[in-house]
Amino acid sequence: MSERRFCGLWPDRHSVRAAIPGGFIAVVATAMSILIGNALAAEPNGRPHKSMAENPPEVETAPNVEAAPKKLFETHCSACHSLELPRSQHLDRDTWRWVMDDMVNKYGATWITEKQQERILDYLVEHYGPQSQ
Amino acid sequence: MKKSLEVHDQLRELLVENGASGDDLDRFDTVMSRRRFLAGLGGGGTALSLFGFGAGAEMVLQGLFGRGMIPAAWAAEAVKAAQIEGKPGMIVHSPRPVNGEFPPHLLNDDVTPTKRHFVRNNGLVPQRAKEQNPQGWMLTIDGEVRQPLKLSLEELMQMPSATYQACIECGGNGRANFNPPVRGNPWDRGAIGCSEWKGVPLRDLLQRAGLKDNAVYTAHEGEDPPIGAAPPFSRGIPIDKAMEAHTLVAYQMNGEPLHAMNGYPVRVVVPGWIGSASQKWLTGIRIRDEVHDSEKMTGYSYRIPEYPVPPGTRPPESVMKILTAWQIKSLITQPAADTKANTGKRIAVRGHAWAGENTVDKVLISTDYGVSWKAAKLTQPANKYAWYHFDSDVSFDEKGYYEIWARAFDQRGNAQPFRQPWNPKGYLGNVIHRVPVFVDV
Repeated sequence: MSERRFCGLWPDRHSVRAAIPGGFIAVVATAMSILIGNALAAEPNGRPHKSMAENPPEVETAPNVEAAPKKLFETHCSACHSLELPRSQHLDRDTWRWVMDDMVNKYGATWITEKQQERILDYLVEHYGPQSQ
Repeated sequence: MKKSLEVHDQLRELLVENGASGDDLDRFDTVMSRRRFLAGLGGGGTALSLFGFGAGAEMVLQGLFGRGMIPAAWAAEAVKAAQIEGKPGMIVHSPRPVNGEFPPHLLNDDVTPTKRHFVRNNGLVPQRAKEQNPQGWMLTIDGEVRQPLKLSLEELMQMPSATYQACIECGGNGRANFNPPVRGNPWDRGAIGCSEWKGVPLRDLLQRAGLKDNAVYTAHEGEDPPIGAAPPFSRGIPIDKAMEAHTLVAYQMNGEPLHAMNGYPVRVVVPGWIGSASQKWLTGIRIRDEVHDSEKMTGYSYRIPEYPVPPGTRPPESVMKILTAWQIKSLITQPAADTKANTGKRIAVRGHAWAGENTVDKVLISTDYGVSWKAAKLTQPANKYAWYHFDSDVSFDEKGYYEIWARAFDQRGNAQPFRQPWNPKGYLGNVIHRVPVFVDV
C-alpha cells in the first residue's frame, strides 16, 4: 500500500517503470528456464517439457534430478540479481522464507510457483544454512 | 548467423506460448533488429557457454534482455570488467547490484580517496553516471514548499557552496559480525568512507524554495534503474536534519566530479547518518507533510526494534523504528589483519573513530583481550562529522598470537560493545575491532 502510494508521487519514474512491466520479466524468466534445457524449472513433476524433448534447443542434455533444485535456484534468482549474495548467506529456514517472500511479494518474482519456492528453499537451507561455511 | 535466427524464432515462440503481450513482442522484435544492443556485452559468452548456449544464443538473449534485463550470472562478467573501474582492491559482495567494501588496512588515509570509497547499490548504475554526462540532468525540489525549484547542474554549481569531510557509512556495515547470522550483504567493517564533499547545503535550497509550516520530512529520488520489479529506491530525513548545516547536495568528491558508483552527478550527503539517507544519482527532493513512507522507510528495511530482542527472533513490524544516526565506532587501519611481527619491535597502531551525532572522547587500545588498556593519541576531526584519527604503538615481549583491540568512547560515556548486540537485519554493528598479529622471536 505504501509502495503504491509512493509511486504516485513520482509520475516520471512511474512511466519509466511501466515500460518494463513485471509480467515481461516473468515471461522472460520462464522462457529462460525452458531454453536452458531445465524443463524441471518449469515442470515440477520432473519430466522434460515435451516439445523441447522432441526438438531440443542448442543445449546440454536434460540434467539429472539431483541437479534440479540447484538449477531452479540459479535460474530464478539470477534473473534479477547475481548469485554471490545468496551464496554468501548462512540463514535458517524461517529467514530464507522471509527472503523468498520479499523477492516474490515486494520485488516482483511472482513467476516462481509455490512448489518451486519450496524446492529452492530446501536447496538454500541445505547449502546456505546457519552451519554452512 | 543461421543459428542465431533459429534461436530468435524459438525464443519468440516461447514468448508467445507464455502469454507475452503485443507490446512485449514488439519490444522483442525491435531489440532483435538493433545490432547496437548486442555490442559491448563482452565476456558474457563464457558464462553463456556454460549454460550450453551457442554464440547465436548469446546475441539473442543479450539483445532480448536489454539494459537491466541480462540475467545476473551473465552480467557479472561485464560488470567486473567495466563498471567497477576505479575501485581497485574492492571486495565485491555482489556484482549486480554492485556492492563492495575495502579491507580496513586500505582505509588508512585521513580522507578516503575516491578509489577506496565503498559502493552500496540497491539498483543499477544509471547510464548518465557511466558516461559522466550532465546533459539533461535536473534537480527538482517540490512538495510542501512555496516555490518549487528546478535546477540544472550549472545552476546548482553557481550557488554558494560548502566543503566538508563527511562520514558516509552503510547502515549494514558490521553485519558479518552478527550471530546468529542475518540476511543481507555481509559487510565486515569497510562499508564506510570519509571523503571530502563539496556541494550546496540542502538548507539553502530549502530556504530558497520556502518550506511550508507543515513540512516534516524529505523524500529523495534518484535515477538509478530498479532491479526486477522493485520500487525505486528512496529514503528521506526529518526536516531538522535536512536543515543542519553539514547536510549537502554534493557535486564534488575529493575535488572531482562524483564517481559513477558514488552518485554522479549529484548526491545527498547526510553525514553521520546511515548511508541510505545519502541518496545517490539524485534527481528530486520532495518535501512531505508526514514521515516518508517508501518501501525502504517501512517494514524491516533500515529499521530496528524499539527494544532489544532475543538474537534470532523477529518482532512484529509495528515495533520497528527508522534508523537515523550511527553510534560510537572505531576502525584499526594499521597494522593489517594477520600481520607478522617480531618480539621487542614497536608496531604502529593507527585508525579512525566516529560517533554519529556525538563526539569522540577517547580511544583505548588493548593487546591482552581487554585486561589492560592504554589511551591512543586522538586527533580532532577537520569538521563536525569527519573522522577522528588515533595513533598508538604496541610491542610484544613473547612470541605468540595476539590481538590488537580498539575501543572508542563518545562524550556521553558510551563505548563500543565487546559483543555485538543483535537486531533482525544486522544494522548499526559497532562491536570493537580486533586485529590478529602473529609474533615471532
